[in-house]
Amino acid sequence: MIDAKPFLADSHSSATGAGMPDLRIVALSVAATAGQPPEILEKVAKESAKEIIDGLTKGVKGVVAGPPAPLKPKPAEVLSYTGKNYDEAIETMEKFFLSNRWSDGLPIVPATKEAVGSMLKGTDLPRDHVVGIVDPRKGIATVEKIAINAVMAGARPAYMPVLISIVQALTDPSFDLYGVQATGGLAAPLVIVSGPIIKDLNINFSYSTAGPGWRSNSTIGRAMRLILINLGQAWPGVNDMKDVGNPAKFGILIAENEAQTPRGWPTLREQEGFSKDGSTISVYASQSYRQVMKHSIKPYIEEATFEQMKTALTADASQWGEEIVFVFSPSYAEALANAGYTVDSIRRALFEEGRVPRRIFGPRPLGALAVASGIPKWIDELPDNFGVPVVPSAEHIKLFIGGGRGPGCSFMIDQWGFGNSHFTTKEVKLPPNWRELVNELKGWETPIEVK
Amino acid sequence: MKTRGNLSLILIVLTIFCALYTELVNAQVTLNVLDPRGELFTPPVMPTTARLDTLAGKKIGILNNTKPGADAFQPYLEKALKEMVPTIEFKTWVIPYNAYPDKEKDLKALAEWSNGVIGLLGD
Repeated sequence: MIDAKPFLADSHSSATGAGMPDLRIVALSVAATAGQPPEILEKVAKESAKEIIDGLTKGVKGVVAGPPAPLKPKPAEVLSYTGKNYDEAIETMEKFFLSNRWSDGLPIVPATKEAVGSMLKGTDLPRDHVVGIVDPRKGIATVEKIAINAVMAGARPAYMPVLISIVQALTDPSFDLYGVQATGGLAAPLVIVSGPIIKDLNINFSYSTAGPGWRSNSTIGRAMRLILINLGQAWPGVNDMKDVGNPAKFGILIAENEAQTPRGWPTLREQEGFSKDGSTISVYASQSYRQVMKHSIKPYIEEATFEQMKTALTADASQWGEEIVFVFSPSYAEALANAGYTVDSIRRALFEEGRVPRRIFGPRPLGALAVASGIPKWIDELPDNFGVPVVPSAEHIKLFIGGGRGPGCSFMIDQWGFGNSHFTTKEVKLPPNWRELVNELKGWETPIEVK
Repeated sequence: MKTRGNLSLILIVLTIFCALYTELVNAQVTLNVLDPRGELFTPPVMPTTARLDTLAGKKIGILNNTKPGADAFQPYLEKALKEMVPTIEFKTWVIPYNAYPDKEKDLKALAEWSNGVIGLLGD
């Protein structure tokens, strides 16, 4: 395999994770080959030719083929940190965690045996139950490991059912967690909660649902990120090759505002095929968050949305085929509903009206990367000015109501479109002691303004 | 005698005091936490295939994974290798990096045709 220089560690990590620790990898002396002038490419090719030939002809150490190791995870080891006093011992722990990349950079709550024991009361699953395998390094997510990272994030035991569902969704093949974690594209999982659990856990669904201030929103998102760091073991510049990163990597959780959803509009969980009586979480490989405003110079309320839809691909048309999420604020949704729209009709309208000219896909024929991204060949045959829908179908548009009743500022969130990641929804299953767990949250609430 | 006895007592008290003070100064608190990292699932290990004795006269399959750098670099790679080993034969398979699970037939064809394979490009 040939690689650009910055990706060498990433390639070795991927090869080992795929069961090929001996794969011969040659790193070119440039950071990228795309866009390089011919004289540089010629020089690099000549420099690396001998190493490439050696890779095909010289002997390797040789590994013995073997079956996968049985999935029998051991209980978590105890790690000890000392200091002259408790604060100093915590500092020693923090410094160790930071230097070993076990931290998100924020102060950590120590995951003592007692704290993890309390956290485990949030589920009736056994502590060694395997919830999923977390890419890219295939860390085994047992209930115990989820609980440890939840303690570190400052989560409460009642959040465990949500966290377990999040890990189930992230590790579902439909989410392509490997791609999301390792890509150079600026992707980060976004969590969306729908259902009665929002009220039970004091999850902010109103003003600034996507922001800080609530123990639940902040620590569930944070716990997810710590799980991705410590179980998935994706590290910036090593095997997570995002150039700039994404603020959503801090862990964003948005909740549906069901109370202020227009009458007759189905909730997100119903749109996803789940019962209205239960609760769900969805994970989405978010990339960019763009504002959609109700107040615009356009005469019709919905035109701002159509215009924003058209921008989804202007940066990179090769991402065609992705899903798009709209989070409409209550006042924006109300205006759409008053104009006669339903969820289905707004999705159809977005599909029909949110179009981009064929010419933004580039010259004919479509390049290999375009084909790889799933852009169908029929787009090649269209005239340059033909309006191509931004998404393959109206069903690729997800929308729900979130946030408080303000001036109408809503979000269009586009998706990392280079892999195979899809919007993935799981039911949140509650343990028998659920009401007891919810009662334990008294005192941990922040008021939620609903107007 | 009395003075010597008093001195001894003072010495003993001082020694005990110093020992206690040293213990107080060096007291340590130990914080025990559980390891947050997951054990890693080990997939089946596949050994690397045997190396070729020479590339002369060999068929080298190029697996172009459609990342942007692959198309850019491939012509220069083939030219550089041909300059060193003129009798290499190249054939290219363009298989998108995110389509491998669905492209088993193409990957098998690549493996069957080739004596050796070069993968382009890991980004």
